Amino acid sequence: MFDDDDILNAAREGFIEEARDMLAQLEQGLLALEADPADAEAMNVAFRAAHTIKGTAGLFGYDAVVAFTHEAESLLDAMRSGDVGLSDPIMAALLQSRDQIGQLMAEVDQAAGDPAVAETSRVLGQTLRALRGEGGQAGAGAGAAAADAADADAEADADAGDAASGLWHLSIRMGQDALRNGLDPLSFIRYLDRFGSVTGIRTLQRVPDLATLDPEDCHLGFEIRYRSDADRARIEQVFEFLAEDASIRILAPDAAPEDYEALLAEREAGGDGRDGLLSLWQALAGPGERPFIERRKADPDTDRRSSAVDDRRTGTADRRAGHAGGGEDARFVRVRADKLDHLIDLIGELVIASSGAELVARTEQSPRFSEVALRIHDLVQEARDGALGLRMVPIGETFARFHRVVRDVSKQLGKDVELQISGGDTELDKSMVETIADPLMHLVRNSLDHGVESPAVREAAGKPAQGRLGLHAYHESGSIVIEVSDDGKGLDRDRILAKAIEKGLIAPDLELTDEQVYPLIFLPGFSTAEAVTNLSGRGVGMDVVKSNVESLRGQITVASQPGRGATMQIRLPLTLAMIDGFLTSVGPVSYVLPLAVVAECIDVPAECRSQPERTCGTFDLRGEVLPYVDMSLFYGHAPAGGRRSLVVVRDGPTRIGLVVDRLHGEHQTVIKPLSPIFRHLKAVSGSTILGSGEVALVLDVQGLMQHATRAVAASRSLPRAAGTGVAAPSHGHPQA
Amino acid sequence: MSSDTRPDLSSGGARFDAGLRQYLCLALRDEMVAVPIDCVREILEVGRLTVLPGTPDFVCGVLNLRGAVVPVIDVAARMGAVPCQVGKRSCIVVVDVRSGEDRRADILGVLVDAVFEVVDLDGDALEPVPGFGNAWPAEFLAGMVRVRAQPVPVLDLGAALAPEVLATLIADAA
Repeated sequence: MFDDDDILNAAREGFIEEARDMLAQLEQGLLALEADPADAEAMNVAFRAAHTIKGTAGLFGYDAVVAFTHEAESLLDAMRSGDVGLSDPIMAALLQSRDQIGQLMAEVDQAAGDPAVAETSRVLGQTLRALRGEGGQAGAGAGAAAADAADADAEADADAGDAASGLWHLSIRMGQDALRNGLDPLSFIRYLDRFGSVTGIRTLQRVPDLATLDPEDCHLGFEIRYRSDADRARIEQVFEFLAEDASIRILAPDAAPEDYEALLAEREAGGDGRDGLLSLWQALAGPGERPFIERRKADPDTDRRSSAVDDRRTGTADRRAGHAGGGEDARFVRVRADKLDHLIDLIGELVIASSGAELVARTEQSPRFSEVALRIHDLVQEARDGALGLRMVPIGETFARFHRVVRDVSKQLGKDVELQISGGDTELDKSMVETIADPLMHLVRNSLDHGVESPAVREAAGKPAQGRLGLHAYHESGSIVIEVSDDGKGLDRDRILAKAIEKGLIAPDLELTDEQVYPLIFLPGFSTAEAVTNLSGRGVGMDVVKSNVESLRGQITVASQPGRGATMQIRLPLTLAMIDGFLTSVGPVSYVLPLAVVAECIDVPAECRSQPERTCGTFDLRGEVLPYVDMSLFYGHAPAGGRRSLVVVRDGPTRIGLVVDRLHGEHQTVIKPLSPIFRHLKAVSGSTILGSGEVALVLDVQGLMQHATRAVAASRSLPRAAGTGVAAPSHGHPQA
Repeated sequence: MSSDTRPDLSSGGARFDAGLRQYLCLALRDEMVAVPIDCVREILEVGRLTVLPGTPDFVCGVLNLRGAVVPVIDVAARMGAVPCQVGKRSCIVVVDVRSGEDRRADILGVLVDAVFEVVDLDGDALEPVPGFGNAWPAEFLAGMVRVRAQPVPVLDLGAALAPEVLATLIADAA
């Protein structure tokens, strides 16, 4: 069983997640509008986003978010209806509002908000209202009070006059699934108190017999008398999120007896139920009021008025339908991440089971069985690719956020920078996208701040005044490469050196190549900015970027040409639940290499065979000298006799040879994480289960190369025992 | 010994708060030890293990436990004994080890030299560990119980197999 807090927390997380998407949509809509003010769809997207945030925040009682978002939404609404035209101040204020909503969202979990944030809400809210053309009114009284973020009641007062004050009648029948869908009727009723007061309420329950009772069903209904000055649209808005899960009828204070009659007929077809409901209404209204049905038509206008009300309602309904159909949401299904993970786990088991079936088919030597097994294998492979694709998101969504960053930061710095994006459709795992966004942000800001020069400097240097910042993504040999490049002044070798020496990070008398100097910027505590700006240059940046990237088993490298620009390259592994692997065996252990890193397989070259005791050495591959590692010796397995092979693997630009005992060919590999106790093992990134049930280890080629380099470096400093070369100790490898 | 000063055995599994506690008796090298039964998931024959390169002696390898890859630890070697020679009576005892703040259970296989029996003992039969003279370091013992009048040390699996400590030991060996 969950308790309420769990449910609420889960719902709140969903809300925050959704709000984040909505904020991104709002921003994209606004930026699209800036580019093309006539873009009606962008306008709608922005408005819908603001509207949804407000609505959902209201459900959770985040008053500050609701009150502030309301201002932004109103301005957007005015723009949408053409009352207000787009201008630079409006765009600036709206973008600022988007950030402010983000701020408010960030503090929804805190009991007391930051007063500075509340103050910003107030000031910005006033700006928004002024831009909407209510500046005069806002100063006058009620409007100004409404600006107080927490004071939603005041806002309601400001709306006075929209409708005659009076007693509304609300009749609500909850749908069976309302509770299951996480809708708590009480919260809606409480919310009513914001725009008026509930003068009477009766709860109806139609609980079926115990035998047919489903305890998770909702059997509640409410009849509510509600005194409010709010107009119908506002009251309807309260129940907007309930609309699908309940039947809601709202009768205006001026509703005709026929309306009540119709409602009565709808709720209770006749007989006792009808009388019961009527007397309940009467009790609800109190003795002072005239009977509902007997109130005869006193005003000939009533018909017209109620039909006008109907029209208004139809209008609202249409608009709501427009929301559902017009948004992009319709094309997506929101799925819980754990359900997806479970599916992927299952498909992983299926992959293993299918290779087991294939193995049996081969050993049974039954051609028909083999054929069927092969067919299953193909289908499973397709299912695997499809399932994995579900977790993959294109990085373009992350890149798109940087339009705003580049726009704001370059304006702030007085620079003119164009953002060029390519490879936005390169897909990577969703969890990686989330982790990589922050480091990217830092790199982009760094480039804008330190890389790209001001227009004057650029022109003096003979470059176009407009700078260029590039975000590129592509796949390369089993990795995803993300590049942040600029055409600015490049890294300043001398300043980096001077700074590193000043901070005591390197010895002053070292002779370093450019390739050795540039990576110094990734050292903790390094910052070259003369003045600390609020953009970058706090010296906590690049080392954090580096550790973030490394936490994803990635690498970051920097390349720079003085006066031409710099490129930061992030290389991430495709850490997926499943990969195409290449199965080899070394001694008694099977190792899987990611197929994407395997360049070719050759016989063990003569150079290696002539020195069988050497763990590492070099060999000649068609005129190119490459290093190799003898895996048996490196891992301390007794080398198998017979024909061994050498697998040439790539790690970015470098290639090395791995001498293995046997090649078993391609293998669909379901990566099973190793126990956390093995998380420090460098060269093994996971494990997998072969069709035979045996556990195979997945090699991390990058880690293996680092390990081998260190091991060899260490072995060089050791005195070499005659005849044994650098053979590893019995259990493991040379001490690093 | 009053119940409130009793060492917390729940580090090895869920607390079984009845009058009786069950212990599994097993052999580590030539010594009999007991572990609370509630942390034992199953007992397996020593099957095919995949050796992990570059790990210390106490890591026997990993095992395919119905689709999950489970590390197997030679707990005696972990506590300082010579590595196990797998013999006819050797077994792998699959246990839950709870550790860390969230008390998350890690599944580990423990290589033991023999498995004997399950004994029922009074819930408060646990006696304190003698100051010295133990076959195993006292930090890995939860107490002593008497099985047929013989004192038998009770292993504190949570201490002997603490994942954080194992991870550090494995990192140091790599």
